[in-house]
Amino acid sequence: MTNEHFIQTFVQEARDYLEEVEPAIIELKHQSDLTGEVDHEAIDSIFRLFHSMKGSSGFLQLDNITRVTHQAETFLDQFRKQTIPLTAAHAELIFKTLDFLHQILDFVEEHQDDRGFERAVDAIVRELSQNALTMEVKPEPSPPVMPQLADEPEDSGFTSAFELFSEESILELPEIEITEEIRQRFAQEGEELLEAAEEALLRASDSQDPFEQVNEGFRHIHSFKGNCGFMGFAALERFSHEIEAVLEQMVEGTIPYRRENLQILLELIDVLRSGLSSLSRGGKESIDRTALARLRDISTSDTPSPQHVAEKSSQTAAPSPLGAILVIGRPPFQHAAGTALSELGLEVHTAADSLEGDRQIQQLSGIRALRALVVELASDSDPLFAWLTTIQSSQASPPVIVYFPQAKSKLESMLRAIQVAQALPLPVDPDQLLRFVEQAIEQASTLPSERRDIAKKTVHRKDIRVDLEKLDSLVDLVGELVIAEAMVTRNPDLEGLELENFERASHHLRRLTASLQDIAMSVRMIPLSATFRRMLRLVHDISTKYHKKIKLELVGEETEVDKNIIELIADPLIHIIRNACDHGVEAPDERLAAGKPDTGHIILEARHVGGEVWIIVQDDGRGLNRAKIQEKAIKRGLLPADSSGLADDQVFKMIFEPGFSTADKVTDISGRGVGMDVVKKNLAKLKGRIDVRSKFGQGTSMILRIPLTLAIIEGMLVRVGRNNYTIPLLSIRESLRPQRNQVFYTPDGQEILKLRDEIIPVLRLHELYQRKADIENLWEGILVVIEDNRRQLAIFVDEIIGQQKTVIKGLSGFFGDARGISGCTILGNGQVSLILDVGSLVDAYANTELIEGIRNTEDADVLPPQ
Amino acid sequence: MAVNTGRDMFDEDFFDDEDEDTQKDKFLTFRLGKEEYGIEIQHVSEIIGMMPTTDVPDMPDFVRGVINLRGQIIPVIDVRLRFQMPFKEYTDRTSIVVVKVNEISIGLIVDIVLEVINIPEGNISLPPQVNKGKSSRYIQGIGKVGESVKIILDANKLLFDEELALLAESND
Repeated sequence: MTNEHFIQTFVQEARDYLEEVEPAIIELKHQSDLTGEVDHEAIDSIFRLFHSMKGSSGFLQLDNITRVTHQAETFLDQFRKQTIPLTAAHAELIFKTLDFLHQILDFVEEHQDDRGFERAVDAIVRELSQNALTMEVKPEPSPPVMPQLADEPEDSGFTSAFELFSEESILELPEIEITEEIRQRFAQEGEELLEAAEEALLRASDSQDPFEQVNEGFRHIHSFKGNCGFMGFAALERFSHEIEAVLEQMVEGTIPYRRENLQILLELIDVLRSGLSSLSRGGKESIDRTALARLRDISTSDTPSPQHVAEKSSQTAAPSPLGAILVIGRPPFQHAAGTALSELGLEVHTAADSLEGDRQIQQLSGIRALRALVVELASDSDPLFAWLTTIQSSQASPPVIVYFPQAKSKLESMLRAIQVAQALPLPVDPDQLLRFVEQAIEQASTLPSERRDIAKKTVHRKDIRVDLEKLDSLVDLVGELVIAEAMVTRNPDLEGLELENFERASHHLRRLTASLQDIAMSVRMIPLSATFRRMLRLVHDISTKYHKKIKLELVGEETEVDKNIIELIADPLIHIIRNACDHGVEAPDERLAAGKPDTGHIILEARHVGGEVWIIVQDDGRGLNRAKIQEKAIKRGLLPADSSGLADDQVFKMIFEPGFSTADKVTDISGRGVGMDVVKKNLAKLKGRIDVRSKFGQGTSMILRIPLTLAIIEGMLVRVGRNNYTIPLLSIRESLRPQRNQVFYTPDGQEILKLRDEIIPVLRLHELYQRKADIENLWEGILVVIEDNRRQLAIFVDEIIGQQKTVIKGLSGFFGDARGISGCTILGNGQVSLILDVGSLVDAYANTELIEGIRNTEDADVLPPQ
Repeated sequence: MAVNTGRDMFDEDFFDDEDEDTQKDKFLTFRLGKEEYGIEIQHVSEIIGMMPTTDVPDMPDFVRGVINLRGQIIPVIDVRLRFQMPFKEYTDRTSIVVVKVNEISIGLIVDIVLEVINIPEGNISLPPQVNKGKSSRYIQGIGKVGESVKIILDANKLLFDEELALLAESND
């Protein structure tokens, strides 16, 4: 991995985190406004984001980012430590910082460096520090439970790629001219030395004279340290120095030689080895410094070690106003849960067994309130279990949170834990506590294996970044596989054969390909939440600036859409929401005068409707002024002079014309009429459409309707002449062979189908596409009635071939946009069929004026006026 | 079919094996009517037999539609029609040469695929300046091979001509 690669990863991750921070701050602000207090969980999570960013930027020597994030951390810290409300000014300052960081990140992405921002950084740091009230400035909040061996705190509540190179776990050194050969030889020799040391320590446990063996191990580690020093690998050197020191004390007798202690040393040697192996693979020097924390478990007395650990931690646990918590379990669990809980601000004590637990409880009972016991139960027969029942039966027992490493599922363990946690009289949210414990538990369960397994030494990520092209070709191949499957299992050669076994096997194959297809399709899908959450910030900014009160509600943000939709939808959404805030929602006094609540309400909603995703922006503002839009449009020649007969949505569509604006005053966010045509353009790229519904005085809804690009649709396959077309089943209302008397003509030759009480225009596909059809008379062919947005169109085809599930594929960019075609699909026989774009066909050919006209003249009595 | 390497050109790996260097000066030749044409081998990704195409509306005559090439939908162009030559019914010898330019794959329908030949740069002269007919601008040069002459086509221009660009825009 190159440095550049690190930086790109850093920028990506940092952006993700900044995006997470924004909605969190807004939420925080709302809450602070309501309760006058700041939610600690929220501020903690924001704090951690900055902290992690700081760590990574420090590692990458992006000093300006480090400074800003550090100061932001300090600034936020005051809200963690004190109960002060978050004011609007505070929020603004944080936003300003976030924007600034975005700016630097953009620069870093391009230049791999953040130099040049010094003065801007100075300014922002000054501003932040002035706002950091009377707080003492702590460089870093370190959890009290951690002993000083590892001098940095651990971000236990936070797992991400950041930890791959956060300053806590990896130390990097200036690079030194080392040839590959030297490096390899060093690695090889180091490997041998470590192996020898390990062997010696292992022999020590069986040996008559363990000291001799320990001494030998000491010598090997010493040589290793020397080599590291010579090579300039300072992190490895320091790490081995720590081990050497312990071994030395063992030889001298100040640290007793014990099996447990040896075990810890062996683990640490493994860490050294993994550092070494990454070097020999040509990587940078890196070592997991956090592992040194294990050294604190080294017992220095002859008494059983767990007690010692407990004593040590009870000394280091700082008194907390929130009360104390006792963690009982094996050392990794003690460590992990302890760290997590102390981050919550609790005073953490640890114990290894029931004896010690009793002692701790007694010790604490006089002085402090013991809030809860967090206990790890290895099994039901664990001695702690019996002990717990006695504790539980006594009156003054604190609530107990139990973790079962053996539980069949995390859920089982959590369910048991929740029961107890609900009774927990902690000033912290029990859910929050649980989450922390859960994270701690996760850590505890991964800790031992990490130590053993070199390959697994990096943080476990649950996601990977994959090149989009690879995904696309995967989806293509799967689509192809589905077709190939159909070609085999429905091969004409098999017709009439009774093949029981083949049938069974092909059924199995069909099921497998179907599920493979589902998965492949879902891979490209991303929830809209990130895009939606960005809007929170936007609304916040606008409402502050224009002194409006607006609440943005997000609905269905978990709705998943294809990645390219996400990219193209962000801009249009910004414009629409800006418009809703600026033109839609009125000022508070105006709202009150209109009998509305003073806070405007905007709902941003996403959902699946038929084969489309609908993104709806709905406000309760003043609504569109039809008269005004009409007047403007007529003046610009966009609408005919007499447009009163037009449907509302025809008129409203004018707002998407370039340069169209009815705003009397142009504000700096909207009113110039440039925004909405971007909406139209981007939607056209997605082959989507936009519906506007508005009631004057009551509000406006904009519905962005986007077809699912990578979806499987049910389609009806029809034939016109020698061409096949696929019509999405969802938009088909019915299909019929009309009677002669159902068809009539308008004066300008348009064919009309009269179906029951409805008047439906007919579209001859072959005429539209200038091809030949086999059938000329409507009553000899088939009319497929399609419907979109309450308008209908009858499509004339020769025959219906059948229905089938099809995978939608885009047409090659080579074609631009063919009229009325939304994409294509591959049929079972390998041929390509075009998919009709029902929406655009209806838009273009279901002429509303015409229909209105007919309604008004001929069937005025039958048809209700619209 | 005469293939001078003795290997099957329908074998996909045939072209993949060649790296940039060995592809230099190599041209795939095919016949349209009486003339022989060449196209730089680096643009050619495979050769397939003629297969049924699916019409795409609103396209000029020479765009025959789309085909399904192992799950990828690609447009096909009849090169004869592209050069305003008369349409010739497709036979078993009609082939589709799949070329890839600017990451877009397009099939070229040709009368018959001939062979892969080596034409050193020195044997290629600039196209004649006489501006006789539209089609001459798709010509990259004239290659001399022994006594015969191969017309070397410019894949880029053939695929992305103003005409097509306009077409794409007008449909926007």
